[in-house]
Amino acid sequence: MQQYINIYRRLLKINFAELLAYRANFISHLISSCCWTLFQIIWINLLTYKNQSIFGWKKEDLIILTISYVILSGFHHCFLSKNFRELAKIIDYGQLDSYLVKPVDEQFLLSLTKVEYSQLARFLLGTVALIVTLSKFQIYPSLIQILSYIFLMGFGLVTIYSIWLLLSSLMIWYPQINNLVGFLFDLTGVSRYPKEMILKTNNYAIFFFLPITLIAAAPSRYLFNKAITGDTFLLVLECGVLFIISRLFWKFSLRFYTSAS
Amino acid sequence: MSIIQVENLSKSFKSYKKAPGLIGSFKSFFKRKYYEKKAVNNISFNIEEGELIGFIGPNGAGKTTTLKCLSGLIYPTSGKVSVLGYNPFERKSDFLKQISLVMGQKNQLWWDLPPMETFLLNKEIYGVNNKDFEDNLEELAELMEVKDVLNVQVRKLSLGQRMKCELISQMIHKPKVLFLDEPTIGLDVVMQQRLRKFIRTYNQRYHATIILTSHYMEDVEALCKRVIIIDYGKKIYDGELTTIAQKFSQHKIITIVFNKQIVRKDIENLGVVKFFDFPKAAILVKREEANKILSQILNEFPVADINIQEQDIQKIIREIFTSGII
Amino acid sequence: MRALRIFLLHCQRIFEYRLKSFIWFLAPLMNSIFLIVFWRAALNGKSTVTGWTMSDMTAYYLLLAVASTFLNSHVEDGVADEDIRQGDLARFLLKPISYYWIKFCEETPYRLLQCVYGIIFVLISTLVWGNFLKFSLSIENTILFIMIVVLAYFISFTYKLSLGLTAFWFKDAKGLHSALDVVALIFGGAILPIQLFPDYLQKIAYLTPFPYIIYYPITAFQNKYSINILFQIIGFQFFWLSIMLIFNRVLWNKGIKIFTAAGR
Repeated sequence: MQQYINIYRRLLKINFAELLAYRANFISHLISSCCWTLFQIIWINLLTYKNQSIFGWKKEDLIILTISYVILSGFHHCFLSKNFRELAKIIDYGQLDSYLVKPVDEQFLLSLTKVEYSQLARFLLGTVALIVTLSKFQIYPSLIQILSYIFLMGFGLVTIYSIWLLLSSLMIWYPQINNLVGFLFDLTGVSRYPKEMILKTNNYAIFFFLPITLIAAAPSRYLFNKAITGDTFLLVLECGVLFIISRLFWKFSLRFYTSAS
Repeated sequence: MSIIQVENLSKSFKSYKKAPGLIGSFKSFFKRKYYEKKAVNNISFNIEEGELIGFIGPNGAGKTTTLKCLSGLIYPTSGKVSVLGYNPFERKSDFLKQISLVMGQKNQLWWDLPPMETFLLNKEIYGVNNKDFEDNLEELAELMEVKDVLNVQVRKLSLGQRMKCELISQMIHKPKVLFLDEPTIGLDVVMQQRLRKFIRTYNQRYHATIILTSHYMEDVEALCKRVIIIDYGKKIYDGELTTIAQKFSQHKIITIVFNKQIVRKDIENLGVVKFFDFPKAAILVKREEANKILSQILNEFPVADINIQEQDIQKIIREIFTSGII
Repeated sequence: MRALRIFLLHCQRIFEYRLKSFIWFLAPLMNSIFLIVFWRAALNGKSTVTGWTMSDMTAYYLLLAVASTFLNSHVEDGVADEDIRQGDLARFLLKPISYYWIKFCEETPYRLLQCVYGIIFVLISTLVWGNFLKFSLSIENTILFIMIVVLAYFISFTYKLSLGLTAFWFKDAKGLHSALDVVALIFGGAILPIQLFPDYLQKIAYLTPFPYIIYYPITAFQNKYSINILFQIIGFQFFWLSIMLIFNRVLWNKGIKIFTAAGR
């Protein structure tokens, strides 16, 4: 609806104004996001330092997988993640009411109000690292493959959002667990590992994490030309299912909040 | 049809108790005891358009809970609520665009930016068109006397200016029904008076319905003709402020100015002497006997001026709460 | 006595936050589990070049989960945000116990609780995955191991406290903290044992204090060192602890002048 587009345009402007008002903070966060991007790149390079091929994935494929995760997290941290940290504070300080009394879907406001432009550095650095890695290992994906990659990354992003929303709704039931968001960062980090790694262990407890492993892996496969249609389809399906379930559970949690306050 | 209709509203909450000390914490680690608390207990009232009503009650009486039920934030345990013809709990967009709930102490303004930015955001959220936005802002800013700080960073504003801008940001859509929860809390006397003036003007000029909860009797005395007293979740009075004294107070005060010297002891048998500083004195007497004692004083003492008054409203209300009259 | 009371008060708060404490523990737990799974799949029964078997790796990451929750102090946020920026520091200045020890007594109960979670986790995982943690330390080695852990805790605490004190000068040090966190994670052995790093990176790691906070306590427990090496490690830990304490003193003395001069 037009109204929501207007509201979001205004939100993008107001967040940009805030960036300009608090420039030192922006630079500091920019440095921070660059450091964490570098960390991820060093992480995967150290782990694959001595290993050329693991559970069916080549070293360069794993590096591309981690970099795809970095790019996804860039978007996620820029447009979404700060709102979940704010949600913890909003619930804690009893300010949820002021969102519920507005004539606009509160999930929309609570998910999108804050934008951290400094986190786009992850996206930029990640893209550079991706191009460097692709050329270093002489992988040249076609235009269709690149477009498929971008398209699927979109589904991956919505999947991450849905998982965060689903678990963050628990904060309404247990307001004291405002450190849940920190845990969610690590949970999302599981998408750096491909599902083949988990399947290989035969440890049924971990199978629970399989849906997360599709998020970055399914798109990445398009880049090094090993796409599995099954995985692609599963990611799209899981995205839709999780989005609906997360919204339902969010609404259900709100009913609890408004009954118990 | 009344603009606000409340019928047999009740709301209960669950809460748990914890024993103090380290052992208590350890015990609650494993098991918790829950008990039910009735915050609102079978309240009914009707409010007409344009009324300015005060909810009075001690802390935890159920005022805020009632207000939250009226604005759709809390789902009632039982009873019916209708505001502007809507069921508030359905939280329909058209309903929410016509109301505003202002709870003191909450911060909606973006700290590092001028209040104008937040106003523009709320403009989009409430779907106010450009012309209405400019008009509303102009009027509200003038009423609140903050026209020159609209483009100054919120962090640089004084507490008073900030509170005014918070209020404007939550009223930029010119709500028809306004719920104000403790609006003057934490403000100095001057600010309180200005805020009261604003509320009164808003009510008169736009015929807006306003419900106000406050601890400060001055707010209620200055603004509200009709008050609803809530204690322990129950409505114990619904009517004019002026008749509270008649209903609840069993005493009246007789103030006297003597024109010839008398001693305090002389009037002590008439009633409780509240104040004696020649030539002025004030005695507390029983309501039924007031007239009789008045003529007695006129007959027996040299009086220059005499007056019968109701007890101070604040005292009466305090007595209602401390003695638990239901 | 007063210190004990502060300590117990914070122990009490912990029980009230059982769910919250558990979630704090979940992050390092997940990291460790997935890294173990990664190496299982990668090693496929073989050993790595420097003689780390799969059982060594599993033990390493399990111990990492315990070590990183117990030994990684988080005192810097409270110090920077609440005490210095919001000015709460003022009330500590009037107390007869030094700020260092007050913060120590506030922080330690939380760390101990995390340690308890860690130990429970390790016990459960030995049931699930089999007994990877062979406690094969001799009595002398055990005593030295305990010393290494205690020193590591103090180095970590002092370092983080000093980091928090930089808030006297910097309004927003997130960039600096992140850079240091990244370095601490890498050189503390949170990704993989330092022994498995490329040579040039290993040399750099040993020049920093970070291996002495996480890596050495873990590998000492794994009985990877002779008594001589253990003494060397302890020696270096004393060195780093002294540096941290001096740094802390300097920051405190200079910073407190700014703080009180600003009259916050």
